[in-house]
Amino acid sequence: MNGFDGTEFMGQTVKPPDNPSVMGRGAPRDLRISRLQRALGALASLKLTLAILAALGGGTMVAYLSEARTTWALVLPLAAFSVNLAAAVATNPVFRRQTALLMFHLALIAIVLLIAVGRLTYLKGQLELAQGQVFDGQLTQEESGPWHPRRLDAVRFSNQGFTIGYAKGMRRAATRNQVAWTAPDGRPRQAVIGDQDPLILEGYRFYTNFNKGFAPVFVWRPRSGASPQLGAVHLPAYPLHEYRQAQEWQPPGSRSPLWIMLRFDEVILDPEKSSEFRLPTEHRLVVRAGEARRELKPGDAMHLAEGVLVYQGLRSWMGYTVFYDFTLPWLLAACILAVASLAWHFWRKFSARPWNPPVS
Amino acid sequence: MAGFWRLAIPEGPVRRLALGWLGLGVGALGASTVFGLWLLIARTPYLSRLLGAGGGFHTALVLHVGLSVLIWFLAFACLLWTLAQHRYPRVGWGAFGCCVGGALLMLGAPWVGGGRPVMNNYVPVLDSPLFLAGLGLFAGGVALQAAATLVGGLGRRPGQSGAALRTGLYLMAVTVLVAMVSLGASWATLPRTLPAPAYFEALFWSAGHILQFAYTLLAMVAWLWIGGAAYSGSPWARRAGVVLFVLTAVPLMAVGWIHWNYAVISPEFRTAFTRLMSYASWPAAMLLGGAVLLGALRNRGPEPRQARRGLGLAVWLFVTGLVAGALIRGDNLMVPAHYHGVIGAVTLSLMALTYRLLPELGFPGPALRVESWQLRSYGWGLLLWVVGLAWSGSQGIARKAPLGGQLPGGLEAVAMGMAALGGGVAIASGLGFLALMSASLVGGRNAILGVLPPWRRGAAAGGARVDHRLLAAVLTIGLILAGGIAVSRVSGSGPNRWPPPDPRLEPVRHAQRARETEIGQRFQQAVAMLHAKQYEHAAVALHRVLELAPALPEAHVNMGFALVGLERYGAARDFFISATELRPMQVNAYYGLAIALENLGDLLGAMGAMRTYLHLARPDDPYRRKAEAALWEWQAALDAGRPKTAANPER
Repeated sequence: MNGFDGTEFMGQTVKPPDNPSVMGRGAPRDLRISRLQRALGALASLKLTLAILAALGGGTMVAYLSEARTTWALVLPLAAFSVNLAAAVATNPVFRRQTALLMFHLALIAIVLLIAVGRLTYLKGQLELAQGQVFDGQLTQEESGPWHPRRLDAVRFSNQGFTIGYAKGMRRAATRNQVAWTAPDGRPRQAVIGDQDPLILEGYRFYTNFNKGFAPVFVWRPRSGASPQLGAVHLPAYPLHEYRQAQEWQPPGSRSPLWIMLRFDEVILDPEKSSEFRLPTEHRLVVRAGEARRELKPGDAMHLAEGVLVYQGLRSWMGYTVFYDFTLPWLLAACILAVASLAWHFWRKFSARPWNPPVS
Repeated sequence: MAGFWRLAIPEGPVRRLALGWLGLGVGALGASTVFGLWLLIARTPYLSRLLGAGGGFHTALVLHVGLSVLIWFLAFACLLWTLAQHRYPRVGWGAFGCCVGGALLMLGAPWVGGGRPVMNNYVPVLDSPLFLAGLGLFAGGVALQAAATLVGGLGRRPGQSGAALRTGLYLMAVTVLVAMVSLGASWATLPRTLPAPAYFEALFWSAGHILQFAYTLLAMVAWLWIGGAAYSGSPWARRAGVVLFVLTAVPLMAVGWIHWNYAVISPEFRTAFTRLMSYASWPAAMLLGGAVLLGALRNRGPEPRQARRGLGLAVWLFVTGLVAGALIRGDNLMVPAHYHGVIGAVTLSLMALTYRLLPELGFPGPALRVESWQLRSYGWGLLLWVVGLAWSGSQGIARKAPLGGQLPGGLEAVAMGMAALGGGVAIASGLGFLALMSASLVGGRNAILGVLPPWRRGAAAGGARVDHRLLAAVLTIGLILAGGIAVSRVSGSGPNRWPPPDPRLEPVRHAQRARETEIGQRFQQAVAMLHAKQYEHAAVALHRVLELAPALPEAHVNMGFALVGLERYGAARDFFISATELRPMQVNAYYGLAIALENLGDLLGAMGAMRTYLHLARPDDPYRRKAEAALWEWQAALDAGRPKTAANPER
């Protein structure tokens, strides 16, 4: 090597240290490896696997039955299971030779870890938007993992209206809901989403759900001089609550509640034939404030003690389910890999031929 | 004397640490190559449609740059520092742990925390706490290793082995630490109120430029390690090599002076660092590259001919990158042509050096023929890529933007096709490098354990143990990552792409996007200049914004404020009025108009404008109180018959 023998360093010959303690924390290397192996062996114990599976079963029951937050009841057994499995992979010699079997087990570890991470970071929720209303990051119902990275406040989209077909017998067909939002590059975007086709913003998947109904829109002009406000009141879901299209509502800043009921005579969804969800062509809105009762048409105003209520018209509202779990694509990939590697393993196992077949 | 141009590699923990750094660097390069493939698809005619509009382009770009330029280069620097000086192995392991943790956080940030990609120069970032924490952790690890190298080297007289390389490596450690200090100084003085693109651009501007000196030193070390024996014909030449290292690092003495004299946000600061890099970072490297190349052409020295071919291509790439840099005339694809040439040269040099290091680290290298093919294909692919980008840039195609289904015509298509072809070859070759490295590392590990790799199992009939765990782990993680990304792309791009883009409109949209990009950049520059009270520069930037978007009311308002800063109140008044005509609810235009009118002596007009401002402004508007005070004082001044300025206390 032209004057370089590979062991020369700073003009001196480099030798391995005589004292093994130079290399570590005081214990001889073999001893440390032996301790590590014993620890790994204990972690890889099948008895421990059984205990963890029992704990996982218990955690699942708790999660199923409990009303309280139960994330850790699942996450801890899952994390312990992944450690147990990893220790088994590290210590069991069979995994050194059988690539496919090892890949199956590694994929299982990945699945367990991904499920645990998914439980820590997921979010499920519900929201309702009237036609033309913009989502402002607020959910009506919500459950989420403790480590959920909350980015809903950065999400904005608007409900631009929807169509839902109903087959004979009032069987609901596909929902087609047009939504609009502004893309990160500043360009306006539109999409049609449905029960199975989500709008995906910031990792959140917004699906339409079966909830939808009518929403009278009002302008409330308080007598106090505060600025007028525009808002919609969501009546109970239609047709689920077809005969209960009423709602109690309190105008902003007002102390007295109003009772509102939508009345219309026509049949919107006919069980005898195919139909489509739509707004009634003619309707009346009954408003009760204490003893006073008025039937309003669009444009009518009702003078109340605390302000003037102007009925603007009727719109529809749509219910959405929002879901966040960033692990799902990787979970699917890990599942496919687990199935494929197990198939590979068994294919090799059962297609093996003896190297010295018997001579007939 | 070949030992003058290389470092001895000791056994034991130091070698393991060096291997760790190599693994981190190669892993980062591998991940960067995957993201590079993503970017290539997004920029290739027809193929770009696969990713849809946007297609995560900017996030992939941030990760590609961070992994390839920062992590791969600096991890390799840490590897060489570990070999140069290893008095503090525990500190080295600590630094390694920080860097690995930081790299994982950066890589995981888009999948966990999201974050808006910010396309600032040199160190583009995701504006998420996770990514920034990862970046900080990685930088801390590198600084720790650099400091340990320098402290370990203090007071030690260099021996014969690698004396010249040590000089280069110590200077590189100093350069990296100077970059860190400069970054800290920028961070301490930058106003946090700047918008993210302007903030990160200013934050990384000085450190990014200083790091280019470190990368140049890194390439020079690699060139001398590979071709030093061929180059060093005489003691004079050896001394000249050391001098060239010093000449590369000495200009950095100006860094302190620049920080002392100019504000971080000022244009003079930007220009000073640009000029420092443009004029001082490359001449010594060019001289050294030329000398090493000449030596290699004479076919002297013990190194294999194939290695010297890689070295030659690296030097040519470096020169091509410099030529592209000299041809930059705007913010277009000529810019990436420049830095891909230079950075590609460093990467190619490090790849060639990795092949030389493998046997010395105890791992079998690939066959020389295979090594030569890999290096040459990478070098030629990058050359094609650089030339294609430069050609595209000469036609004014914007950078940092995907094609998004657009079909360029004529020469544009040829140029971009050439770039795509070159990029594809380079990426394929990069993947080949990773495959060779994996084979070598897995094979080497099995050799150390007394077993053979799977493809040599036939030879293991004597009962040797076979261990596939590393291979299986790499395969599993790789397949899950790739599968997950593929699934998320497919499942995350369904209805969001509705309605489908109209191909007839795409060229128009592309031009529009390029214009919008420039408007955004110029506007942010102008805002930063206004914050720094650099009104003349702000006016220049806003002038360009108004050329591109004459109906942008915010630009009219800011131009008005820039002109107020320049005390050109008549022109400012006109801009404020035009802003209110464009958008009657543009609240701050009325405030500016009031100030302009006040300074023109029209107190009645100023009061009218200020009252309109108060009428429109939100109750929590921070300027409301100042506006009310101004109105009161103007009224008092009118009553007393003497004009007075109150709305703008700086005057």
